[in-house]
Amino acid sequence: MALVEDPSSAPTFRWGLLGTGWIADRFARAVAQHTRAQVVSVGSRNKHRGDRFATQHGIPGTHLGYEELVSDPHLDAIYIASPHSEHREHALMAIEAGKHLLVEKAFARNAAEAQDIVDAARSKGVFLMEAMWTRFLPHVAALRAVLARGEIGEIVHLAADHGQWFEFDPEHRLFNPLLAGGALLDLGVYPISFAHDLLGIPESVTATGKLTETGVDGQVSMVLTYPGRVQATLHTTLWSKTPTTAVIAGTEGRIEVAGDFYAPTSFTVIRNDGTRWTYQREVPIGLQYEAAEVARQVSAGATESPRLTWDNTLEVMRTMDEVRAQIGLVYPGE
Amino acid sequence: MTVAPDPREAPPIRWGILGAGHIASRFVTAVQQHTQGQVVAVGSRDRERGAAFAAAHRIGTGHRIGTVHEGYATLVADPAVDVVYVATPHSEHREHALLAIAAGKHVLVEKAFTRNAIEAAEVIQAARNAGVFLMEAMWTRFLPHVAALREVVERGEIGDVVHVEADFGGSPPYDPTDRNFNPALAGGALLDLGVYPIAFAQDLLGTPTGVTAVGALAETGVDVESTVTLDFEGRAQAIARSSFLADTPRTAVVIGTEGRIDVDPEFYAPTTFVVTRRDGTGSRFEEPVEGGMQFEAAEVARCIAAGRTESPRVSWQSTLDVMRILDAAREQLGVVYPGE
Repeated sequence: MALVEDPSSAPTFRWGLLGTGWIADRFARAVAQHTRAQVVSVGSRNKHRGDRFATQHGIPGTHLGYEELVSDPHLDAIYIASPHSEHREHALMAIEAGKHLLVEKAFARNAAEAQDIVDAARSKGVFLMEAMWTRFLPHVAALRAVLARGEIGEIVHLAADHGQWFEFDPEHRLFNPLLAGGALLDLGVYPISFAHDLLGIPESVTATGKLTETGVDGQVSMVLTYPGRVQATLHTTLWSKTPTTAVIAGTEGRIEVAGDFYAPTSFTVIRNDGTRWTYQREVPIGLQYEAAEVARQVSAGATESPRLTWDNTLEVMRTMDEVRAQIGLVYPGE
Repeated sequence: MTVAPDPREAPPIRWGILGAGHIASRFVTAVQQHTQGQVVAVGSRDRERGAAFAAAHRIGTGHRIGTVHEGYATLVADPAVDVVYVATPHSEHREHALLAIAAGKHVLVEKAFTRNAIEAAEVIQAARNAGVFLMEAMWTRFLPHVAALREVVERGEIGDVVHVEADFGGSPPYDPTDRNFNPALAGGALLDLGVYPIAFAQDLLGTPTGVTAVGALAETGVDVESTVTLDFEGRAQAIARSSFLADTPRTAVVIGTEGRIDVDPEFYAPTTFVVTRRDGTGSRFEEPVEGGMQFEAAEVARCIAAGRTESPRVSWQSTLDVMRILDAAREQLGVVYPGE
């Protein structure tokens, strides 16, 4: 029995992409290959890059600059995939133009910026969602079902990590504080959001970290606590590719999620009584599930997704703010 | 290719077992089956328990009948015993180690070495003054897979180590009187299980510059769950988790700038590991080992035969470092043992 709807059953929809980077590339492919929606336009500040992206993906329209993109009347929604430091500006621009939007994670640099975006969307009455695609994946729905059934008893502990290796380049968005770089906003957001999805708002956050030479976080270790002696241990780094696994340990057993936990993957349920079983399902790319969710909710006249609400996004953002405060990471202009 | 010396080639030595419990049983089996050492005596406060232990392990050699000592005073005075293995509850390690040292015996003390660093320093000073060998029984450090993974790190195969993570969670039934949960017996998951991931991290990264502990306590006041984050000079961090509330994978990972080592469960016991490198190459270490404690027993025998009072592999400084980390963690969690 499918726990998530088939993305190709979602309504047709017209996307405009703001940004032409790595994740925009994957989003374009996921939409084209696995939904009934279309990417009809892409906006770029660089004409050559925009044209090349459009050609590669068979996108009919290109816009030079983002103002043009958001004013395009032939779009239903804008997918914002510019650097974190520009999410607020671009989101407000798109909302002002009356467009529904999907904003890449990290949603913004901090909770205050995130609140601005949410308030604008509420005033304008447009749909808004954070592109935390993990929440819409089949394996996540399946493991939530395992938890809901009580198969592993009461949750005691969650561990999740996300580390990737990046070649050091002070100008690159990962290392540049001006572009709100660092492991936390790019990678750590996944374990934090995952813990939030399964355990809710933490009672306490304890974080220590190490900064890069450019002054962004290179590595962060976090412990979140919840009522009833529940803990989550989260780790992120941009200095190495880590296992990117997750474990949820309970009083009756545990779930071991294979790497990369935040992308389509398998998990094994190991019960204290000795039984074990594995969930496995081939899923290409993965971003099509969030894209389909947007199309469905917009078509139903909703302004937020019940699976990933505005409050959820703000809660995750607040946790990240708390982590950054403890590790002493401040971005320019904050 | 094995990098750990064959325990069978270590010199013979005569062991006296102080405390006839579960880990002592495993230790004796390892010594008898995989070393040239002999277990000649056992001491227990419970005569029947001691006798049953001796019978189960056929303690004694050839025509000599192994001795069962009631209590520990005569065990440590037994002239047939070269080295005493202390395997009583954590709360009694200090007293029993000092007893053995005062009797002029070499000593191997189960982990956690003592309840805290003050006790540990006291025991170490006594051994130093008496000129006897003393070591903490951190048997993991002598295992082939640990020697092999240290070599991988030392060769630079995974670049600079930036992160070490290990977990050890079990779910013993809650009993406020038993050694796991009773503060009078210096219980708690940290001293029982957490000592392994912490010692593993300290082995690879050295003395931390910061210790941060987050956890939860049982009604008896001992820790039942904790995450200890260690910060080191430079870029490195470590995360050590222990729990009495749930079984965990019991894996470890050593993360470097050029690759990583994934240690299969159970990381602290004989196991396998996989090296994954950024350039796409990798390797797998696999060396089946029975038992496991024979490697530490062999180290003790070799050191004593060479006239050493300390093992370079589990040095007194290392034992103190680990104890200080445990102290710092307990302080932050609010776990205090009687009389501390």
